[in-house]
Amino acid sequence: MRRITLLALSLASLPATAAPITFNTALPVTCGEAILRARFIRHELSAPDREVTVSTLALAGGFGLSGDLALFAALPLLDKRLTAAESAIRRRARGAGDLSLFLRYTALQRDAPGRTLRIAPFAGLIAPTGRDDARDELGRLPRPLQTGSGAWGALAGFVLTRQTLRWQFDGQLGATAYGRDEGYAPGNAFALDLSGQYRIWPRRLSGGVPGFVYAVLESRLEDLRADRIGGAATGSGGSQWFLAPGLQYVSRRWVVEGAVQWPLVQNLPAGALQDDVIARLSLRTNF
Amino acid sequence: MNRVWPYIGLLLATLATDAMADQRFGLAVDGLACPFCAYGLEKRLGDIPGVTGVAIELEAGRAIVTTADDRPLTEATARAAVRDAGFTLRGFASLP
Repeated sequence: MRRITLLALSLASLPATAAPITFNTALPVTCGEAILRARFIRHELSAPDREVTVSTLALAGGFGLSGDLALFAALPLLDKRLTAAESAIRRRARGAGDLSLFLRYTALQRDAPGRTLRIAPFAGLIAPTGRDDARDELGRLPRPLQTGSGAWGALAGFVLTRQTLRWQFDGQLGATAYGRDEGYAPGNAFALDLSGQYRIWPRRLSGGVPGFVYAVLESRLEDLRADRIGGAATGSGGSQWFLAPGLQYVSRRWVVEGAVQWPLVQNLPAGALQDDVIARLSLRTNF
Repeated sequence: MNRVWPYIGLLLATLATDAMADQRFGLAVDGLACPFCAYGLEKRLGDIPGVTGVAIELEAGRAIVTTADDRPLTEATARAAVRDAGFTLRGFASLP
């Protein structure tokens, strides 16, 4: 279930423009410009003996420090609910998750009329601001159900963006690594994200800055290492491949977008929670 | 002669008004390919002292910048602002 926290983190990353719905882009955040994003995410998982629903309000902000360098912050607000199938036991945790802060730098930029190619590495920290000691009447909640990991972490990777007036392609390779907290060590994670966006409206451009509607298709391949308790691996982790079709409306000042993420391949330990579906609705604005 | 003076005055006033008219500059900007990006460029150009208006033409990849007469825009200033916005200035011209 730590996949939920990791997914919430990656989903809280902040694309700067008409860009992937589920991960970063290399497009610029103007020096002195700020961008805010709010995403509502509904994540449903199940196993033979239990079901989990995670509702997340993922808040993210970005600020342009220069034409090449931008600072981002992301904080998920989580509501996790666990229902055990046979006993009908219900457990719940709510609150802010872990805060992530990262810098993104445009290392390569090739601009031409109406198009651009950029590559931008990014790196940052994950602070254990979420609770890892929440309790209910049954005692302390299991670690995966907590809103926070309890451990400091680091994230790094790079993103490539190729954009024209008609379409856009983004690719991101990223990794997340955690330290330990009271003998508990969240497993490291690696992910490859790909996104294609195609302008379906307007079919022809006129003067000024019209709004665009994009059809979007995204792919995510992730590998999560098992969490460890006292050095011993738990029955968590695994590899998954997701596909997410979506739609996006982009104007000068705001973006509205939605996507549904389906797991096509799940290679998980026996008895682990499997992803059923992840639905996402997002609003972005700049100022 | 008294009938001529008003017309002379009107002519002088017209010439003076033309001399105080805003100036317009056309900037060719590379890398600009979506509406949300355009606002960042518009904002950065609008922050230049003396700029009274900015109009972005997305398909043409162009920004039309209007400045007060006593604050003309220089190519160096325009290039720096476009770079701060995250794009590349390809051309700069004073417009009639």
